[in-house]
Amino acid sequence: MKILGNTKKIIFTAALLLTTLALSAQGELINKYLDKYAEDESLVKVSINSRMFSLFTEMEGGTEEEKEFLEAVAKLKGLKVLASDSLGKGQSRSLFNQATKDVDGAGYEELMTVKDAEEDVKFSIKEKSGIIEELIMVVGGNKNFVFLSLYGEIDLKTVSKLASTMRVDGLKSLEKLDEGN
Amino acid sequence: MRWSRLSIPIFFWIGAAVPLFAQEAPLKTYAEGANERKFCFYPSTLRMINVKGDPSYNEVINGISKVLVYKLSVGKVDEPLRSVFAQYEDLGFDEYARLYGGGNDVILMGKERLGLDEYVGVAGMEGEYFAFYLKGDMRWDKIPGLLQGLSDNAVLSLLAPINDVVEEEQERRIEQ
Repeated sequence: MKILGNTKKIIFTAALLLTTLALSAQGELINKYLDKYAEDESLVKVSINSRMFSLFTEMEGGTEEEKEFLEAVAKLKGLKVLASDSLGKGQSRSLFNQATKDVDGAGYEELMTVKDAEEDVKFSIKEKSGIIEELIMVVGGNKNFVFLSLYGEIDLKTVSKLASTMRVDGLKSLEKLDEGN
Repeated sequence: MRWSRLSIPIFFWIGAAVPLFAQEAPLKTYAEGANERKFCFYPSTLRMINVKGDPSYNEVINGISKVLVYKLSVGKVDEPLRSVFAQYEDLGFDEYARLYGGGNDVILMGKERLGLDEYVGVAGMEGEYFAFYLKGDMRWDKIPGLLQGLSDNAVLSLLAPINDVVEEEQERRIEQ
């Protein structure tokens, strides 16, 4: 009986450790960038944690669509952004190239790339059991650079709506995923 | 015998009460030590600010028991101010949001316990820095309505005379 109890404890501890490891892996890449550029005043750094998102659950959605949106947003665990819109062209392109290379190297799957004369936008995701756990967006333009990581349980439709609400222009490109379908 | 029986609950009551009262201390010690300008609001004074009787505002402040606002004389979130927020982290506050770099500095931390929520933060924009400590139940769902009220300038019109007094006081000090 005691052996059974100990086994349960070991399984529970192992499960807890694995969960902790999985959670700490989310946002790991952008954390490295945030640390690297912590003192660089030309880049704006934003970090929003799960509690800020769960505050959305305390809001009252009026229409059915608003309720669905608030429920989906409440499943997000965090948002981290590193951005600037006043870089030199060489610097923004170099940051974009380095970031996209690091994202690919870290095992993220490419979801979508949008290229135009103004800027390049690349979306990558980390998926587990059919659920998108992390969405990374890298934007590189003539003057601007954005490296954004959104993690938690992600619904891409919600993300594009969230983008309009939070005025994150690059994320609106996700609407093109629907147009493609 | 009776005293020893009483001493146990008293000990636990003091143990529970100390952290309840101590949470505003790091910011208060920092800001009041540096003679920073302070605004202190309690439920009655919070209601007084709402001169136009905006219902959204009343709903937001309903559960708030205390708000301290400091106008800081710093030009950035420097090391002493950063250490204030490190102390809040040690007190069990979580960092809810942070924005820094590019001339921005915003930190919002919170600690939520049953019946006693506390939030502390600093915001700096265009060289003006404010820090706040808030105790009580904040109605987050009512904030959009409050912001609408603020944009209509319905709520904070009472602060205008206060600002005038503060500016006059500053001018008087400079002249002296």
